[in-house]
Amino acid sequence: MPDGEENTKMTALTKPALEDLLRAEKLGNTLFSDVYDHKGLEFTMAPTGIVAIDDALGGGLPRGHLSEIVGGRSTGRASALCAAFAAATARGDLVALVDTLDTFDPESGAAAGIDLSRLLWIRGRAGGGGDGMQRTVDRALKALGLLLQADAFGVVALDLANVPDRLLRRIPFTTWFRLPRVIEGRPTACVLVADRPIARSAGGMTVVLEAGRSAVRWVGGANQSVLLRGFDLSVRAIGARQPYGGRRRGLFVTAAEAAGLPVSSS
Amino acid sequence: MFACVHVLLSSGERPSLDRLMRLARDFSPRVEVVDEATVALDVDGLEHMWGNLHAVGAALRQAAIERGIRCRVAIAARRIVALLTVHGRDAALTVVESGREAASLASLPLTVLERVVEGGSGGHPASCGHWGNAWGTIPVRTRFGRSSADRRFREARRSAGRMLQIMRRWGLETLDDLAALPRDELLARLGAEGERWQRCARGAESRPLVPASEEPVFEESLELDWPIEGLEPLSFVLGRVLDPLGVRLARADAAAAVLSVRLWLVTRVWHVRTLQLPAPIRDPRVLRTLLLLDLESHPPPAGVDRVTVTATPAPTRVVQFSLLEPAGLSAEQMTTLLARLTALMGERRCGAPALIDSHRPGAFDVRPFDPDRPLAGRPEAEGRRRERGERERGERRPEAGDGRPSPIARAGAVAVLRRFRIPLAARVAVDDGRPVRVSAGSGVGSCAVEACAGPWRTSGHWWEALSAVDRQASAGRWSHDDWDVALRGGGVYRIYRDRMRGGWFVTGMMD
Repeated sequence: MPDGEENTKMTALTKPALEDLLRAEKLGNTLFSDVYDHKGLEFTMAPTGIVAIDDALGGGLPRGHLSEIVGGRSTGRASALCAAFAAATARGDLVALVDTLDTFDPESGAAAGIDLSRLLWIRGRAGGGGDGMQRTVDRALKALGLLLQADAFGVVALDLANVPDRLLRRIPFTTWFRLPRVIEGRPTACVLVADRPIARSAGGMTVVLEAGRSAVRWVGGANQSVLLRGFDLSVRAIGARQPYGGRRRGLFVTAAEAAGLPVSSS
Repeated sequence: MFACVHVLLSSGERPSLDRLMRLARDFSPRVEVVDEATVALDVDGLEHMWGNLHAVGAALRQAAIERGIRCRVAIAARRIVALLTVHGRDAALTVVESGREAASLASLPLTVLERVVEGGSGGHPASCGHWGNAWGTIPVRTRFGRSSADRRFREARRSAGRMLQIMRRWGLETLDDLAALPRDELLARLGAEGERWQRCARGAESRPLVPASEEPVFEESLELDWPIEGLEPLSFVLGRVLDPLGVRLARADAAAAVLSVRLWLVTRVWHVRTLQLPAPIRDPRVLRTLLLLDLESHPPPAGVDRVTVTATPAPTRVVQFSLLEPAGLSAEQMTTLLARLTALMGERRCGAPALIDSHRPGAFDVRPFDPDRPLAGRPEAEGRRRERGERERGERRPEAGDGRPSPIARAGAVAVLRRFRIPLAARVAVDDGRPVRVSAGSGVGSCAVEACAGPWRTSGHWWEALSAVDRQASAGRWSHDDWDVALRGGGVYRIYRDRMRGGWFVTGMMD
């Protein structure tokens, strides 16, 4: 038998065995093969309830992985997170939010459809100067670790939006290896919300939200009162299977006060 | 030997069974409640401690006087003799020598029997069952009529009254008169009840004392040889205290609903912490963790000399798990998690957000996280099955079963406000009554206003007096003009002008 043919046959024989071994060592999620072959999709994804985001993610936020929602100011990061919470609480899951800078607004959350009784809200402290803010971030990370170890929540989020970059850079990078190991194989979807990408696990996804120019929509005119109608945004997902980002999808985020108004009147 | 203590009540005074029981329990663990003002206790052997029965009785009376209880005490070899003597004689202390019971009872009036045997063979209803619940069995009249205990008590009283009336017609006046009657003749005419009255009159009734069950006190204490400081040594001490407490709770099939730790400090003061547990827990490790987490937030200010832990017992929980739903956290695990988070983040920084009935912008409350309450009609398994079916049918945006849009479909993507708990002071340039430029810290910067909507005026509590407290920001009355502004540098913010105090503030960012 020629050497090349023998090598090809050996490769064909050893690849499944190697993949099985990697899965047994809990390293299988680094494979490019479909990791969801052996599980039902509904047990591996936590849908956000927003069609554009779920389509981009291929069903929802992956459970057992660290994902992130990133974007600039007023790009719908909190809206996407609240939608994921609302969908999870409607399914009966418990959800937890580590609110580093204490900016969550319960009224807005209720308007987004969150069952507030199933939301565990961990409030950090806004302000406090450099050292105080650093302590706040450290505590938030510890709280996230406790929540992930509890293994009781469908979605756990750490909100790091508007936290200064210099503080985020001080977080030991091993943190982002440790946390995914905690939830690996568990039914919890962990989400970071930040201004820019920070970390995601091998099977996690990065949801990038962007607002173009003239993204803000208003209703009303010169002779009538003007009302904020919403935002035109775009969303794309980056993950192991689409490392350069998937197709951009349009997303309209409606202002709660204008929820009943027609979309066309902008 | 038995002692009976009967409390003498002045007119209008209510008997205090608790005080009487505490007095009796200081002398004997075997105490029977005869009625609300009388108890019988087994004092057998106490004469060896005090020297003789007179000394025992005197000690009993002295203890009662010290506690402000006016009472009579009688001691006899039989319970019924002590009971009849304490009701029939006016002496503060009577000791009936053994063998002289009949002679001692002979001169007592017959009416004393009515007070002793009116409860029938079961005695007074208050004597049945746990003395702590005695008031629950004492005859009461409710709005639904008389209780069964009340009916039994009244029936026994009527029967005793009839018996006494018959005996008076026969010319009997004292217990000696009744005791002298031939037993068989009495039995033939008055039945077993009459014969029982005669046995009581002769002091021969031998019903044993039925002690009331004692309320178990779940308390463990440890005196330390030398003071300890810091939580680490305290955790070992707490372990030694909580382990036996957990065993005692397990034997009683109970769990701790409230846990109280009292630390006697070297400064001669108590440091007391009380934990109200969300569910009864008796696992010593969980209880120790909870106590330590609480003491971490509220440490004792000095060294600890003595540790006392008291548990208020409650029935244990019976939990039926479902095969169709994933196992959630147990109450112990959830309580521990919340305690750890509270210790990390601070009091009232962890919980479930709740809306309150107020128009004040940003008003909310944080309530204890209680995830046990399931969503009505939307258990997790059902929700997941529904989602899977919808995906298989290629549907999005599901509808709830009753035709209403589900929370997912109804909410869709709704813009959420990121609220700054402390509004950012801002400088706002206004042109023609509309903001045209906003300058503020915390990343807002100084930007021109691209578009804006407003103003919407909100105000509240203006009808209340302006007290000193109300002068503080974010308290008391308010009056705002709210604007939504889109800044040229990016971001849509909600700003307001404070009409009462002047000035502009950024209250949040739409995100």
